[in-house]
This record gives sequence, structure tokens and C-alpha cells, in this order.
Amino acid sequence: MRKGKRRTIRHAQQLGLPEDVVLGLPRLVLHGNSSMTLENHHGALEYGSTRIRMRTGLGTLTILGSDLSLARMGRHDMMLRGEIQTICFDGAPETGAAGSRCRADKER
Amino acid sequence: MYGGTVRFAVEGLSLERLLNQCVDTGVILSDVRRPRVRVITAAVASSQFKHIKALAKKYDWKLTVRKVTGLPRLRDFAWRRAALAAGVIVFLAVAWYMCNCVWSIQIHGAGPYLGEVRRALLENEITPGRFSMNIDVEELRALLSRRLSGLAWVSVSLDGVRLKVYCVQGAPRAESDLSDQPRDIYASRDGVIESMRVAAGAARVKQGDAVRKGQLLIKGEERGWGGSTNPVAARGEAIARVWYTAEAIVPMAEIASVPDGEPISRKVFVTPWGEWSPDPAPDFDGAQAVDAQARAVLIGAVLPLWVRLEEYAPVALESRPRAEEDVKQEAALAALRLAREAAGLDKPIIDKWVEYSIIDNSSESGMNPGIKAHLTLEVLENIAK
Repeated sequence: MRKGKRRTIRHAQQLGLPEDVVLGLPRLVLHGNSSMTLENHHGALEYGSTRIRMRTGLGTLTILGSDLSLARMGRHDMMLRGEIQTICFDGAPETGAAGSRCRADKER
Repeated sequence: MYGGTVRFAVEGLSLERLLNQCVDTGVILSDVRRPRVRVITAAVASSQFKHIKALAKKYDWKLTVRKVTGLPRLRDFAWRRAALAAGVIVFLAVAWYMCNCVWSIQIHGAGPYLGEVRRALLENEITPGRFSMNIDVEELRALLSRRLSGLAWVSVSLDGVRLKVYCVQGAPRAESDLSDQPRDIYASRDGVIESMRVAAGAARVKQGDAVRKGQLLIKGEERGWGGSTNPVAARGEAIARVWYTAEAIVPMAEIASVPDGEPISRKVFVTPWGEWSPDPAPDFDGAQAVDAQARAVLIGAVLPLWVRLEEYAPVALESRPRAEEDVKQEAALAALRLAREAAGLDKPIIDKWVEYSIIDNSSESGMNPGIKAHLTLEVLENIAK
């Protein structure tokens, strides 16, 4: 993350402003592991029934799972259905089982 | 979605571009699936489908419409079956028109003004089949009230396909009531006074008095100061018990028809425009009565064609005696109806009694021997005229 953006996040946190509104950061709402809502996305990079990669303000968001489908795809929001197994951002600490999967997925 | 949706499939390379282009152009996709690597299926509002078509053309994707729902589908259906759609539209238009026409005109309470009311409606072209939206009921009511001065109240209303005209006849006051000239009030018929109510003048009878027709009831004078009397127009009412009589004769025998020959069946085809039968009409002896029974059989639910089966049987007329009690009851009811019509149906009935007598010769009634009921009806009536 760039230095200026980090500073803006800090200022927003100090002022108590929602970061997703101020910076356009992605907002994820996960309903169990069967559906997910993503707001503030910047488009799709890859779309398949087992892997979806979305561009966001924080980088690429990768969603792994099975039988994935987009229930709705709007300009700033999308709703995903299917069995969600892994969600990770590029640049996130790749530790644990999920991190390993994302890392393996990225190397593919 | 009210405007309808189009479910489509796009086949080609780099189909993520489709999603991103839709996002950029504001097209909202729903139920996006990727059954194969090179295929994406999705649904979009039919109003936004043109953008999908433009994108498919621009990026050389193969676009296939899978399913159309909502109004666009109905429109396509109607376009493919133009005659059916036109028929439905014509049917709906005709049904709407028929439901907005007056098919029945009901006039209540007009009495002797019935013909006049009908004439007024006819002159205003208000007949069955008239479009009800062109009928101004308030104007019609005003017209009838203005034209028929004998009606005290008129109401005109539209109830579905019925035009209802309710009338109340006015009861004009007697000219003597309107006059202020000194006058007396006399009894209009015989009776026994039940109550007296005097508005002007002096009563000359009291409750319980038996009065004769023409007897003075209320004198048109009032006592003034100093013992003098002033002539006035007498006003008031004298409710008295009065009697009406009526007679009815009912014969002791009734004429019945008894089949005495071979019945003949006949089949008649009936349409709204006429009827035809392959069988000739039966030719019976003029002295014999003919009894016919008809039965309608519907052929199909659409064709306006019926088959009427007629049964003809020659019969003989014979006289049968009736039970005396039945004859008495019938005669009494007939006499009561006549008496009530004579007294006026609105008069309260105090009592009634019937006397029966047997009529032997036919010279009096002109019929067979019968029973005569002589009914006396006692009612309350204002006899002050």
C-alpha cells in the first residue's frame, strides 16, 4: 500500500469516518460460506465456477470455491453464490491453509 | 422484473471483458454462470439487452438468446399470432363496450305516469343498447322532475347495465283544503268514529259515534270573544271503521284434459333466425285439445342450434268435481283481493268475515254450479272530506 493511502486511512480512522466510503475500499459481507456481497469493486479479472478474481481498491481479491456464480453484477456491487472456500487479497500475509491455497493459486 | 428479462449465452474469448464492460456501461447482470470456459450465461433486463448485443458485435462473441420472459415475450407471442391477438383485443373491446351499455331500463313507482316516463326516455334516445357513459343521470332526473309535475320525487341511477328510475307520485291536496272560504266537513261514507283530530272548526261527532255518509263531522265555525261565532274553513280528520264488501264465485268443477289417443313425437331444429322440422305438423281433430311438451337439447356450446323434441297427445276435456273446502278457500281469497283493491292496499285491516252460498243454477254466474264468497272487510279510513 502506498504511503499516502496509508496516511489517509490513518486520518479516516482518527476522524471515525468509514474507510470504505472515504477511500473506496472494498466492503465484503459474507453470509456463511454460501454467498458473499462485494461492494466497491473495480471489475472482474477472472470469472469461473471455481475461481473468481476481482479488482478492488486494495488489489486483487481472489475467491476460491465450487459452483460459484454471480447472482448479480452491478457497477459497484456484486453478489456471489456458491460454496466459498477461500478469500484472499494479493499482498495479504500468506500464512496458514488459506494463504497456502492463495499462494498456490497465484503460482498457477 | 416487470419489463421482462432476457436470458442469454455469450460464447467467445476473454469473457471477463463482458462483465467489465457491463459494469462500465451500467448494465446490471444477474444469475451469471460460466458452464464452460468459453461460455457465460446471464440474465439482463430486456431494456438493456441492446448493450449486450452491441458488446457481442464489438468483440465478435457469439450471442444466443436462451429465454425471454415478461412483457417482451408476450409482445413476441402476439406478433407471431397476430390474428389471435387481434381477436383478443376485439373481444376485450366488445366486452368492455357491452358492459358499458344500458341493456335494461327499470321504472318503479311511476303508476299512471309510466307511459310518460317511457316517452321522455325515448325522446332522449335512452333505449336498451345506449352507451351508458353518454347518459347524464342527473340531467335526466332533472328533466323527468321538470316534465312530470305529478311526480313528487324522481331518482335515476345506473346500476351496471341497468338504468333504474324510481318515482314517487305526488298526492295533490284537495282544492277544498287549499281554500280559506268557510266550509264544513262531512262524512264521505258510513262508519264508526275511532278518533277525531280537528285543526279548525268544531267537532260535531265523537269517538264511538256511528255516522252516515253525508253527515256533518266538523262544523266550520269557531267561538270568539263574547260568545260570538266566527265562520272558518273546517280542517281535520275523522278516522272511522268502515266496511268494504266484495263477492267472488268459483265453480265447483274444474276442466281437466285426459289423453285419449296415440301420442306423436316431432323434432324441430331451432336457430335464432327460425326453425325447421323434418316431421310434418300434427293435424288433430278440432274437437280435441292438443297437449304439447317441448324439450330443448343443446348441440355444442358454440353453435346457436337447438333441437326441440315435441310430444303431442290428443286429449279429451272432462269436468272433475273439486273439494268444497278448496273451492271456498279460493273464493274467499279472490273476494279478499277484490275488497282490498276497493279499499286501497294501504289501509289497515281491522277485521274481515266471509259468508258462503252455493250457486246451483248457471244463470247467475254464467258458469257451472259453484260457491259464492261474500266478504266484508273492516278497515280504518279517514272519512272527513
